[in-house]
Amino acid sequence: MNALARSSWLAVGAAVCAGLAGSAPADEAGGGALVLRVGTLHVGDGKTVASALIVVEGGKFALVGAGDVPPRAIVRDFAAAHAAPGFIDGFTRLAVQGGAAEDVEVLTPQVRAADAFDPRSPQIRGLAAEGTTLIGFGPAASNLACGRAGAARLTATGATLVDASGPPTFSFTGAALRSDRVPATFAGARRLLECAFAGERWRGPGETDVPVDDTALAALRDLPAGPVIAWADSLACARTAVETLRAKKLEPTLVGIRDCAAEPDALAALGAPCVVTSLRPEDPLAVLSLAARLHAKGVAIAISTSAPDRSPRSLRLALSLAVAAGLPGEVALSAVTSTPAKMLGLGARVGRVATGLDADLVVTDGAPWEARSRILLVVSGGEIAFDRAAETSR
Amino acid sequence: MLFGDGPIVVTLATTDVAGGVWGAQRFAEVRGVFLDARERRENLARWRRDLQRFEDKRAAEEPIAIERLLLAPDLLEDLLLWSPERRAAWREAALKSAGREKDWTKPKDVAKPPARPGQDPAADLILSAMDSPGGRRVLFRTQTAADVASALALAKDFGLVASISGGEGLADHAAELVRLKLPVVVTDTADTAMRTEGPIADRAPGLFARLVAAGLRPALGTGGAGGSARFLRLVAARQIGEGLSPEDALRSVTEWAAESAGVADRVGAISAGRRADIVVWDGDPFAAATKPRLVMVGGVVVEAPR
Repeated sequence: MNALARSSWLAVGAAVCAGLAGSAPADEAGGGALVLRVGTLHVGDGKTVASALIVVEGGKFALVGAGDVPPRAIVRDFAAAHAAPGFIDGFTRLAVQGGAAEDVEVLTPQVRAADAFDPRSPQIRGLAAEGTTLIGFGPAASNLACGRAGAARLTATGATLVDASGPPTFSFTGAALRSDRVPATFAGARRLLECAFAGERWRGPGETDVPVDDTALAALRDLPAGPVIAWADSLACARTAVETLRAKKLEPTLVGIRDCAAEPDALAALGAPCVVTSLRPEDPLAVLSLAARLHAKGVAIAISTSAPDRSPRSLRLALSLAVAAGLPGEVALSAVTSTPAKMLGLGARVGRVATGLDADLVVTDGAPWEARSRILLVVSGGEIAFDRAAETSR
Repeated sequence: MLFGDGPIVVTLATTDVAGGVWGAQRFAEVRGVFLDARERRENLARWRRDLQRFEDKRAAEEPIAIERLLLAPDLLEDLLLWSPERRAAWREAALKSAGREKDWTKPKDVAKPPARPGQDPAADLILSAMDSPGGRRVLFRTQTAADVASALALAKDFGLVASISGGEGLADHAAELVRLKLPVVVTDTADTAMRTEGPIADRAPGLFARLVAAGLRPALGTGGAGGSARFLRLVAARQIGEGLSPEDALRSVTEWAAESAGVADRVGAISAGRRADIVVWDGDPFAAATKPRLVMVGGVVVEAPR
């Protein structure tokens, strides 16, 4: 930063502190940009920048790294603190009322979880103050083709949809393959999906058509190549998911794989990115170290709470547990920022602190993956969603 | 490592109860068990009184029995040789000397001892706790504020030495818990809870710090039933992130934990006379990647990872 910029920062520093509103858009409160000076910037993709300047304007990162402070900017000095992208809890069912889809039919790809999303749900109230600025949410994993996931940005007051039609979700778990309907087996699931992907109906046992909606059939037939989410709770499950979906040129991200903890090598061999969910302090080390072991094998890793099965506030504890079990800190941070952003197809918009991306940011008094770090400031979509300075003076 | 008889554990928290028995019903159920226990205690007391009476009565009849026993060896031999007249005379004399007019040669109608009250496993367990030398120690596992209220009511009604584990429900009764000086174990912090049904905002961020501020000295637990407590230090670290001081975070898993378990005289702090339990860390114990260098329990190095 040059001398001129520094002096302008000092001049406005005192004046703006009094005018900070808890949730007001930064560019309205001060009439200009929000400028943060932080000791360490964790970009979210593994890189760090020391003594970084971050300029937030119009809901985006206008400048990251070094440069001049724009006129009339609100400047906040966090010289000893860390800044990181807002956390993304990418694989939840938060605020999705009633699970989104009936589980009468096995294939419901046309269902959009966003249509059942309640931005005022108590499940997500106050979550932004925890540093979680974006959640991915999906339909319940009770159908083979569950429907489309969605994504929402969390603010101080509620939530706004970021993606209403996110990646298609599939489930190969026991919740979807049940004994009271067809298919009940991996082989049946594979056959049914293969038929549907080809636009055909599959005759199950007893020579009766497995009931599939025409819309559902068309939706599956016309699925374009790209990322999808697949719930899998065993290695066999994961293998079936990966093989079946890849045959349609879909790129599955495996979620719910904590039960594969005994076979990380076999899981890694599938070559699919993985989401480790619901980490708890009482989990066995094999589960807690799964992320670290998969990362060591070159697998892209995301960490999610899978709330509401687990409290959505457990994300930060999950991060520190993964680090304690061997995952490098910066990788753990990526696992709740840039990696889930990519898995949700939002990698160009969120998940990193970089010029042009949505301004989702968490400032902490220590490394962002440390459970003991305190959150000082949360910026969500350019708005201040949490401000410790404002909280304590209240 | 166990320190002997711990408290009886009574679960009031609804999510921990198989079958999902809810608040008021659960309270009624637990209260029922305690009432059964109390009734059982009375029944047992009555039985012991009756038994004593029976024993006393038998003891009163004992002289004859004793006499009979004392005389028997001699008689066995002599009676065979005695004439019937002589035998009758002896009998008369013997009875007179015992001050009884009864015929000791016939078996007496011995009254049956009173029947012991039947088995009742739940009530018996509660009773054993209530009658233990430690004295009526019960650990209530709670979840909501209503559960804590139930625990306090049960403790009062039945004169129990209660300790309470739980989460957010504790905050609403913090003042009462401080007043009663009840040991508290926080196992259900916002982020270790299994589920979040209610608003996150209501899940009381900084619960632990607020309990400490209210004057409690709570222990911190992982809340894991049968799971690993390997990373208890990170659960404590999380409380620092929510406003607890690092010093109090350390106490919550050492000194205060020992206090709430009733073993603070032996463990929980590094001081002369206490058991030598020490961990040497290679960094801040609350930082995620820190590892133990040496673990000593009772003066013996049990783990010394390189």
